[in-house]
Amino acid sequence: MTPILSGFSDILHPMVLLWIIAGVAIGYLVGALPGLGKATAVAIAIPLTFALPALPAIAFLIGIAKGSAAGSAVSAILLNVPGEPSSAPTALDGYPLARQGKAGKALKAALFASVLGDLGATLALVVLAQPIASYALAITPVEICAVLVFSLTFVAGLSAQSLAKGLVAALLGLLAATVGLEIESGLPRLTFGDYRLFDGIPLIPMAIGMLAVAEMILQAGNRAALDQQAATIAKGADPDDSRMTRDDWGRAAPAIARGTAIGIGVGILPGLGASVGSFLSYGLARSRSKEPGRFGNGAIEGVAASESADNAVVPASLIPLFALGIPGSVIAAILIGAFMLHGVTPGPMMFAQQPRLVGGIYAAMMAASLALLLIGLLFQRVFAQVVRVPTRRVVPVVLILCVIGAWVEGGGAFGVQVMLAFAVLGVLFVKLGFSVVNFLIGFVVGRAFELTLRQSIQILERDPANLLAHPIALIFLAMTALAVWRFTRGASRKPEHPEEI
Amino acid sequence: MRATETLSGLALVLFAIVMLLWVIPAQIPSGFSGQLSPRLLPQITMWAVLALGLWIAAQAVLSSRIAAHRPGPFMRAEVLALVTLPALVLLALWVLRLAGPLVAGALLVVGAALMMGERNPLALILLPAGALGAGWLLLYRILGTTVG
Repeated sequence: MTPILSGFSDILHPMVLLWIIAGVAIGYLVGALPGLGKATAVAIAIPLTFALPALPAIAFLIGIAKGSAAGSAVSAILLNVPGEPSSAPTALDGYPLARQGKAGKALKAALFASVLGDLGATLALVVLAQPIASYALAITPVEICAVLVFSLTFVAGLSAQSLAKGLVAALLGLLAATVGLEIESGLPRLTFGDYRLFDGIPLIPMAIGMLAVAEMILQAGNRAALDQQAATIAKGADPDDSRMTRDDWGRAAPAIARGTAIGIGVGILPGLGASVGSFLSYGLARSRSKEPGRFGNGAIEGVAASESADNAVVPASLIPLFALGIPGSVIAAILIGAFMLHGVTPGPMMFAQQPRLVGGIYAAMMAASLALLLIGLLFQRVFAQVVRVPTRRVVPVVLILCVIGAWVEGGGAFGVQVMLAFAVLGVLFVKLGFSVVNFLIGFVVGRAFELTLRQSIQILERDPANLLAHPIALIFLAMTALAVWRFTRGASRKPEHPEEI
Repeated sequence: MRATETLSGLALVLFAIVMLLWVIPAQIPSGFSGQLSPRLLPQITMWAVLALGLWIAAQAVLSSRIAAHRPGPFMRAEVLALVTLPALVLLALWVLRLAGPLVAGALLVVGAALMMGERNPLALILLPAGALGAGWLLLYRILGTTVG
């Protein structure tokens, strides 16, 4: 408890508070822009933290992640264009509400659900991360390797068009992670004689390229449609249309509670991501409703269910990051780079080596939840205007931010070249149905996977029968086989495109 | 659509074969005796990609679920953007060496705005001024870092 109290005293410094508020505000603003998700926002903002100490830098980035997770509901509700995929279920009921002149009500429901989901998951992080970390110190590379195999397989099955494509993306990410000097022998691999690749492919330019620049390219290719959508926002006259009534709270509260629990569960499992959480929560709210016919036509509980789960995933995905050093989501994967940039190595040792910083991060996350509520309430109307900014004016500004970020983090022109190469790859991935998220998760866990694989082969003395001495690893490998069977079976039953159902 | 799936599967197969037969042997030493080879993980991933590429291609050919006549995944405007936007960034990088970050930054912002269809002269002045001014203020004045 002492580190958290110390953390609260650390974040009460005006500069730290300012960076938290700035992070949440920027995140909310960026999240409201269609296509610019929280991962993109954090990737772009990392270079802005270079000159900051660790706590305000990390608090700023987490603030952006939280703010953009909540902000993505704005464009989903007002334009029917989700700021990111995880807000897609929000649009199902939020947009009909906006068309009925209840945009204010829908935006407030989304905001309150976001704040409550986020705060609940932050408390879960505080309570669960350290116990899991204590246990994590006792597990061997064999178990970690099995967990990683399961995570990559499970993520591959959930987040791509097909299990095969999801696995291909993750495998290519693993391959990209092998570029550079090999861990054990120090021999160069796949560097083509270029010394700049000896340290491996830089993560931040890669992430900026695959997420942000690829999205800019796709938006540039669809600019007419995106601009056209920025003009159909209705505004109601009844004051109740702009606020949450008692009846609305009665409908939304159970959905928020369930959504938060689902978001925490999904966030803890490495790699599932916010989309899984928000869709599961929306589906559960609909299945438990006495009036399922209201869903899709402006059910306030649909908005609440989706947003609470979406926002709960962000802090919950930091639980495996803090406890095991495994990123629970692409945002956590990008945050690893930011953490290491500021001298913090996520994982179980973090609690022993930097308890005060961990306490500060927890305190900053709780403060960010409060900042999210205040910023959302104060500036919701103003932020909503951002979605009216035409894409032709958004893309140039975001593009130069991306170039600056890649230049600074990637060591000059090389970083920009890496960014462009992976932007092209990102566009190909998106258009051909291969998951960019899987690739990035594969890349980020690649080094840990290779290390634990090598250690496991040595620990098991190259005899698979020795796995019997590692029951936890066996359970995860069995779960991997089950996941492959389940996803392959599911794929053979479902049509290629949902609209064909 | 079926052709795209088949081609992407076959492209993966070709990529994996090239990696396994030429690139990995040429670019990764076999390692030291007594240690696991540095080629281990790259070879595992490429064998798996080879198998999955064949699976994707076979699924596309055999499965009736994939519509044969669905339009391809790329629109003309997207292909154009895929070429022009990276080309603009590379051009700005080249100009950076010749004329410095201010001119290169302005070229990037104005070029991207023009590519996106912005024709308002005021916007074409304010966009680079605002973006570069804000970037300069934040990076050089507030954070004390530099670019270039």
